[in-house]
Amino acid sequence: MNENNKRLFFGLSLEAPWPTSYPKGRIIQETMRHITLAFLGNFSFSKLEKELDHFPKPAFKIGPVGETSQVLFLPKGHKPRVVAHEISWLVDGERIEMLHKNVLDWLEKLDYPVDRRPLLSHVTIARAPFENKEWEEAFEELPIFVSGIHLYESLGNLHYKSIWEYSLIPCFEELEHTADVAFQVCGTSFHDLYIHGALALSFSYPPFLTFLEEEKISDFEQLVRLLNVMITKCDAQMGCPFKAVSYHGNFREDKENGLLYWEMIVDV
Amino acid sequence: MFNLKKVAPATYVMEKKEGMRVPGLIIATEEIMQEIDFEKPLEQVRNMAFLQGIVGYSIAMPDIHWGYGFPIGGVAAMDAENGVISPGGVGYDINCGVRFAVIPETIQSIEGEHGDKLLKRIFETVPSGVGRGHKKVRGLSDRDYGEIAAKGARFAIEQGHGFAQDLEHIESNGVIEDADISTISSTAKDRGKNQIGTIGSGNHFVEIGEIEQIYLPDVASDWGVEEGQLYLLIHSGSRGFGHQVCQETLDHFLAKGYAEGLPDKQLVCAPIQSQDGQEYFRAMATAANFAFTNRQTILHEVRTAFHDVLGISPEKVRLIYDVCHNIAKFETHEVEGKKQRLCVHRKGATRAFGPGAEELNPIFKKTGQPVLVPGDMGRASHLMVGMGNSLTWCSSCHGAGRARSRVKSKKSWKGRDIFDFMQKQGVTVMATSGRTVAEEMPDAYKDVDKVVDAVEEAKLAGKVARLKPRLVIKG
Repeated sequence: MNENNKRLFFGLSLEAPWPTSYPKGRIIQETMRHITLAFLGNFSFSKLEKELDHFPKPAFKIGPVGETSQVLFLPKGHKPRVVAHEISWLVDGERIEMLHKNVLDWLEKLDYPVDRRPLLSHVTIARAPFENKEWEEAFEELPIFVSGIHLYESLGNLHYKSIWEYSLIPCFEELEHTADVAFQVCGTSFHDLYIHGALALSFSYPPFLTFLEEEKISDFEQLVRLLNVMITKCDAQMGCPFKAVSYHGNFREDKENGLLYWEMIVDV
Repeated sequence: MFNLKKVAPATYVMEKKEGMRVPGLIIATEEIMQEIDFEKPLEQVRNMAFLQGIVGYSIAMPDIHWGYGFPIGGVAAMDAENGVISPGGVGYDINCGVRFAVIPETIQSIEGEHGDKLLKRIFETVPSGVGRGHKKVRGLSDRDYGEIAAKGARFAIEQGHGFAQDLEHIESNGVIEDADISTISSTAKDRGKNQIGTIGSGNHFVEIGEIEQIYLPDVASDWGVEEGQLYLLIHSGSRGFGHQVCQETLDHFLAKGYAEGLPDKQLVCAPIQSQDGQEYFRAMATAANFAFTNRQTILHEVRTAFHDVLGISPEKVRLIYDVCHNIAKFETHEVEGKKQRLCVHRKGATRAFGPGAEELNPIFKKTGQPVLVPGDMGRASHLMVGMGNSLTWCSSCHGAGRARSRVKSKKSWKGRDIFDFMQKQGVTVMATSGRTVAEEMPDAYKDVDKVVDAVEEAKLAGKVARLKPRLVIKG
């Protein structure tokens, strides 16, 4: 093996309100959890680095959002080695598949070996030894968003280091607010803002996301109203830490990038 | 920057500018104004002054911080005939309020194992935090809702949750007139059906501690409050029921275009005498009565816990007073030498009637009404007495007010054992969520001692006793 080679792969870094404790298993650190987009193997980074300027651009500027939908034990069969959570995308699922295809095409052109199996969006949480039953019982649906696209080096012993990043705009960021909670929510449409606003709230209270509904949203007031409908339903069914989303808050449009920014203030 | 002119001790006037119908009045000391960002809430004081029918001043208390439309710690009185009523001037948590009781025992009775048992028992029987509805109590029926609307705290007492004499120790005797259950949606009823007797999350709490210092012995004596005694504070409101009333009204008022011409949509309001204004008042009063019932039921559970754990009979846990601090009420005050009926909005502000006020029971008519000022769960809370200050329509502060955001507070306490920290300060805390406790740590709040000093300096209320928390339940 060439000493300059590194064990490389492209992946999507993730943000989620990860639980603070898990069942037995070798747990991957929160900051290293990712979705593997394309595994390369041992190759020279300096050679690949020269090509990174031509990395296929994703069709999204904002990190896609989703939720963990089920626990997976991989590879499927008698002796799985990995506990993972499958991810269902709420926005941009097709665009992630497109990115996956484009990255594989690009790598193939550069003569890297590629695995053409369809992308299974999942995040590895732990490695063996583990008890399937314990992990099944501990599973909860969590909101999730992609924070960046990376070239990772696998350092062994469940450690991964990002050695190149393609930045994405976060769908929300928490802001300082003296009395209540506030977020800067970003999207390309009111529909995006609805989903991203709901996602921001579900980072504080994950069950909240189950009240998200498929809605067509045409204006700002409807956006606020529908988020409040989620709060109402959540409170009636299981209790909710949020009182209401305010009609207050700055709202601006970045026409150059086709993005909407909303300062969402929430009474708690 | 706002140009404030000092007109009296701890009292500043904000000059009337274009669009403002009245000047602003800020109750604060220079020290308080310099400690936190005062500009944003002052913008809201200015905005309040735009509302139709506002009389006197647009008023801010020293615990002021940014709110929805009105600042928290904001007071505005509207002419009852020509003025407006604003859900943003009441807040989402309609009749959020505080209840104070004393127990004729000393701190020794709740030290060690006894205190732990008491706290655990209350934690089990008074649900707090998200998703903890009252399992012991059946969901409210339509009939229950009708009675809650009509009777407020008396409904709970008729269920065996308290004593008839408790009513004389509750603002407005525990019921706001003109409540009407027909103004309430089924959605609001759904939200509230399991929430009677629950604290909720955020800054709501049950607190037990020691009366540490008496400042006005005569008043304290009239009220039966003694140094070294145990006290109980309950802070909760109308829960999801009230939030829904507020939300639906805001949506309705906005849809009807009532926000046109206002500097902030959240100030949206309807003329008091319009059908929409009247309906909101009736719905708000219903939610207020829900909140009175809630706090009465919580008190009952705490009394039961004192009895079961420490053998203290329920009647010995003596209710001193219950105040609303998110409410709009019709009151008669003197305006330019004439009696005038006003709709006084107090949002994060407490009524502080002085001696002689009509509504008060004989004890409080002699002294002025109790004003309850919870601080933070570590340092102190205060018991004050209203002075009936006419500049503020007999209003005072409602708490310490936040000094630091929830995000900042969480970050600064991340990775530290907050429960152990509080224990070392002599305060045992139980909570459903560690996150809430991190958001509510003492340093997230202004120093309540400075806030009550400002209130006293401005002659809104006088300090009666300083209270030191020992056992706290948070949401």
